[in-house]
Amino acid sequence: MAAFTKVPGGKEKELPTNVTSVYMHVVEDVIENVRADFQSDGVEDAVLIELQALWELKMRQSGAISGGAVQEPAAIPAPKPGAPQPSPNVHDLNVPYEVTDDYEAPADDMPYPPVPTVTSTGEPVMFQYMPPGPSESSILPDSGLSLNANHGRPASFMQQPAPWMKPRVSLSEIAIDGQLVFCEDFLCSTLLLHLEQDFFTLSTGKRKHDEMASGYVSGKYIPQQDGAGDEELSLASSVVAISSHTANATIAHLVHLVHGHGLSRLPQLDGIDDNYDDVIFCTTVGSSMTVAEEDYNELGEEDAQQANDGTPKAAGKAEPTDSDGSEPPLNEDDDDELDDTDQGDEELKTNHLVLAQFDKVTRSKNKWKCTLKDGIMHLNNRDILFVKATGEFEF
Amino acid sequence: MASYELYRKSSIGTSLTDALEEMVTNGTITPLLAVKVLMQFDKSMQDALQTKVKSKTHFKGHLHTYRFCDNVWTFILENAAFKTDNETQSVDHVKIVACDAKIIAR
Repeated sequence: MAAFTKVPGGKEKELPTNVTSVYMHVVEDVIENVRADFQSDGVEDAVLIELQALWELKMRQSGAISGGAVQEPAAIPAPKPGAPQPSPNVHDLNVPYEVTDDYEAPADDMPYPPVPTVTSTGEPVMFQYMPPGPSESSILPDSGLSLNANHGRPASFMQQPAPWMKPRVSLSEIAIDGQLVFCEDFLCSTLLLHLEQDFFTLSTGKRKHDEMASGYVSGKYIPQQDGAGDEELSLASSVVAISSHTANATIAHLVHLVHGHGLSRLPQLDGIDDNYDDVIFCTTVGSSMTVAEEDYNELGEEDAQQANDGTPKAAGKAEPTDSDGSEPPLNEDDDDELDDTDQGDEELKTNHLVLAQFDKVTRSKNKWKCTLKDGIMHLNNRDILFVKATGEFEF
Repeated sequence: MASYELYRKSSIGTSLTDALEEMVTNGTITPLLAVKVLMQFDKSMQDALQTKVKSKTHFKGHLHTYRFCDNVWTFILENAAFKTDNETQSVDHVKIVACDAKIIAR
């Protein structure tokens, strides 16, 4: 312990960094100046030495000073685990973590949402996988009914259940805009067309029916039924939806019988890639999807990830009408998540700190200037001292 | 000359505070003695910064928050760059706390 008295003065000794030498000088200065107080208090000198050792140990642990100086019984076990340790930037770490969580949650139970009502023999037909993709940006505003080969082709990033894709495409081609563009099965297409008309008649009472119908005819955009915006449907419209859904189911069933394939697969209402679905199906079956689809898509454009999150929950519902009812709570959850994220952004945690005294602080409009002196900066887990500092920043 | 307790928040100051707290808890020293040590630290730190440190710093950044309360300026800068000598340190956020130098000087 006596070795401590030999601590070299910061002044004379050239230490690894200027900061360390200054700190060592401060330690020595403090110890020397409180010695009288310790003595008058009846405290032994050894206690003073112990204080110095503990102080230096903690500084070394915190990285405030670098090794070289005074390798004393720093061996003294650190009694306190809570010694200030430079901690990694919390902010950077947390953000990615949360995001990952959000992405994974939906993926686990995801959702190949069962397609409602249609009694189909092929199991895979019941499900559709909607991979999250840049579909929002690729919305095809003018593609709705005017199908062409490109639109019907699966995007490269999508996982396609290949076998039953082909027939579907041909089916959709049949029912384009009331014309038999590509007639593989005349009977089938005729049936489809008639049923479609019935459907639209049925849904007359629906909100936005006119818009939808016109949109359909002009081939602009077929709204999705299952989306986040569905909750806006009124009860009355829900009733209508049921009947229209029945018509839809009938259509799908007919298609299924005629083709004998998994053709009857219903369009997905939940995904952000619904446009793709629309294109493929050419709205024969998809047209049955009711009013609310439009709302959903609008919302989906705002936040594609949100829409994806909603998929699993919506999948639990067998009936479109049921899913309509379940939408509001789904959306509420999404809002909560968003709120949490926002709060996280609001928090400003920084390990970087500057302690100083100011000589002058001036402001001209949003331009600030300040003059500081006698400062200790702790930046990037390093201490830097300055006797004078000038700063310029705009608000 | 009076001195601020400002520097107790620095790494050297927190190290001393921790050490003193530990010794007070052990009963090795009295709390009063610990306070005396801290007051001495305030003086010694201030003195060392004025006499031992020569480097000057210039910094820039975007001012996120400013506050002037009880004669203490607090700034939070975004994307700040501190240039000392020929070395530059860049940080995304930094908090600057500055007491009035003139009050101390009196």
